[in-house]
Amino acid sequence: MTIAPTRVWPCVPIKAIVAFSDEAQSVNKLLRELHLQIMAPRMERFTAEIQSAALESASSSREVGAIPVSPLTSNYAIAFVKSLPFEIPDPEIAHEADGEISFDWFGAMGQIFSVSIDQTGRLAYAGRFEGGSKIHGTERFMDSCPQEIVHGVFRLTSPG
Amino acid sequence: VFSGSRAQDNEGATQSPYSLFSRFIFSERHFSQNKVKPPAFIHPSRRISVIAIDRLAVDEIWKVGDEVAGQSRGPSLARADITATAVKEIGLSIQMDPAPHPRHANICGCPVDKDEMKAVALELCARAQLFVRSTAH
Repeated sequence: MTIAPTRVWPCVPIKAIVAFSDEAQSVNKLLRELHLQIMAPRMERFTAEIQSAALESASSSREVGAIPVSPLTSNYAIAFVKSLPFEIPDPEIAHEADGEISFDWFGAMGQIFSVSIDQTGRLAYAGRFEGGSKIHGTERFMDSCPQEIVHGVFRLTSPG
Repeated sequence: VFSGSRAQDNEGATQSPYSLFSRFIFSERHFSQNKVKPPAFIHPSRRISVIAIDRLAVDEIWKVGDEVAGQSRGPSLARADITATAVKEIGLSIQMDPAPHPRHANICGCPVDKDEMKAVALELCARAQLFVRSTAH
């Protein structure tokens, strides 16, 4: 049986596993089904939150100069949360006044890791960790969650 | 800290004589019971609208916020208070913008690049103090 992961754990979405033998394909199918069963309620909740945030961003009560979240941005945001490894804790989801969707994670000691996605699939992230360590950068969303973002979230719970 | 280009905002605007400012929050998604969230400090203009609250009583602070920020948005749900010193420590400035209200100002000098803007928003969140409005307003 040969299973060839296309990316290194923990950023390996189940759908990215390539199976060659019959046994591997069966295992792969079972894993996909298991993944969907585990992730389905989470995805439904995330999708509803993204749609609700987008709706709120378009309301008449938005800040002067604020840009509503576009359907394209919502779609990218939904695809992005679907790409998160299930080990990652749930993000807090919000719209930003520049029309992007923000995913925020908070540590117990005031640490923050925040990611925004726009209508081109550009991910902008920044982190503020224990001990004063800080990072920021941009990545392109290409169906799987970039390692920098996975590592950023895990640093909230695993200092150093 | 942030090497990207900065907006040259509010050229010629008046420097602020105040020491404490409030950013009013109108979305439940932008705060929780004990923290301000980064989206509260993001705006496409890269100018973050705030109100100087020096020497104002608590009820006056909320009232001014409703008058200015809340003209078309209904009452604010919370506010993030931040000192002028903290804003300067981050490398930003505060410029008075009294057109909508004598106490209105903008936090200026935010980076152009979004990841740098997010890093600034994280710093503002870390230094801000959240006050959630009582439901009995």
